[in-house]
Amino acid sequence: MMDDLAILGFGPDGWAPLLLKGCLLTLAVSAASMAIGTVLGILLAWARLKGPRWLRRAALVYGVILRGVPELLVILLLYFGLPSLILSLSETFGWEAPGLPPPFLIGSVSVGLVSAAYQAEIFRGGVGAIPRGQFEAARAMGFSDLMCFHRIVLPQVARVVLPALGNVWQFNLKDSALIAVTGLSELMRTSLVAAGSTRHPFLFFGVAMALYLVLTTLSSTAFHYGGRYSNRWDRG
Amino acid sequence: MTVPPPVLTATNIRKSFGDREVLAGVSLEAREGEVISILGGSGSGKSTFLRCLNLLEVPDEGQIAIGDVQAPLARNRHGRLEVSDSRAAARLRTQTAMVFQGFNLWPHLTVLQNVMEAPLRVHRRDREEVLATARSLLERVGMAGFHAAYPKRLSGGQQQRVAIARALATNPKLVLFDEPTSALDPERVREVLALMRSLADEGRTMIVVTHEMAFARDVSSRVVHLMNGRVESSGPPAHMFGADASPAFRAFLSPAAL
Repeated sequence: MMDDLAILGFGPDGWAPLLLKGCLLTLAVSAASMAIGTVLGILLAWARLKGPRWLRRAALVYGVILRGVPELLVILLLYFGLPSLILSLSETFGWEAPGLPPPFLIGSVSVGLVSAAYQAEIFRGGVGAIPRGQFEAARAMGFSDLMCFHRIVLPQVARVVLPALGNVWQFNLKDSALIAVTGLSELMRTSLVAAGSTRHPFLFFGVAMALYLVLTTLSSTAFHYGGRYSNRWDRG
Repeated sequence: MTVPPPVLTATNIRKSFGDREVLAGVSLEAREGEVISILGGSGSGKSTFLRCLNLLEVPDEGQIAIGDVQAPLARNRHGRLEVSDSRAAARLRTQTAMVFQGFNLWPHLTVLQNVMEAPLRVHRRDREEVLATARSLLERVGMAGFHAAYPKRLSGGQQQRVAIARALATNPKLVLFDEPTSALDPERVREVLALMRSLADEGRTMIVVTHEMAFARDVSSRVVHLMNGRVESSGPPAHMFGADASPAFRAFLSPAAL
């Protein structure tokens, strides 16, 4: 039992520093994918709502594909599939062969691309929930589209979409575990390595579970208060 | 006596929604200080006409000018009229303001912020100056005590008075009212009409789509009767509500039992 505590501690054989680093990396990669998903999701929602016909179609198809395939597959395709395609292309054309892509970047982009597909639906619904008169009042006073979006639409959409975005964030956080396949030593990968090298899988997977729960609970609390703040003008 | 310059010139405005022709060529000129009431049955096109004036609706035909600036309307390659320069359209709209039937205050901003938003963000005026103007306007509409409240807390009449303060905050050349009292309880109607009357008295140029006959008769300088998308008759209220009024307008008035 004392062994267990030692390998979990901060001592020379302890895994605590690496596990904590793993937590931070999980948070970082989830935040990056969430941010990519939000920016791209807003653009996709805009494309679905106001884009020309071909763009509306393209955004629709994007959503169908990215929501319809396993996220692990997206990660594998971008991390292993795409470089091998580039490699064979570079052989054909005599370019310099590129190395393996950075796992953090590819990981957050892959999860972000999927996240964007879900967030686009949320933003689309959120904008639809704003009465038309809100836009008209702004336009009638000479607001530009951008200013109307920033000052009138965004704060009101935030209130509607924050609970749903909290859900997406929670999925992002959990899906970031799939990035372990790229070798990025986030929490999942670190606990896999720890479990293997110490031969205490139950202990380390149990600890990983507890750490994931801490991360999801803390962040859903943060979303709860964020939601309350964005809703401050609509209470009683 | 010199004739004041026109603030708004709308020429031959036409608009159809699908097969239904809502405006069949309506022209209107509003000179500085005029208060024009637009009356008509439901479906007569009066709200659509008003919304064409600040390009919330794009007319199918016609020209609009605010002062001597033409609205940027041009035909696209399918021959349909469209806004050809959205920044010029926005610039034109900064010269006007609109008061809506449903108030359309921004719910996430306080009363004071609602009033300050356009002069601050669109006109980029000095914050101190905007704040002073907003406070005196709220005083004016009797809402100074509510400056920190969110719109949801206010009654309809209070919301509409704030919306009027918001419309005046940029000191527009022309204020458009789209049935401003139609969504209000009878006792609230009075407070909003009294406020509009005081605006008329101070020389504001106003175009008012309304069902309030007493307001049209007592406050406006000109009454326009729209019927089936055309100006059926128009003139000063003394004429329109007098013995020589057109039979169609008289028929329109009669159910109101004047």
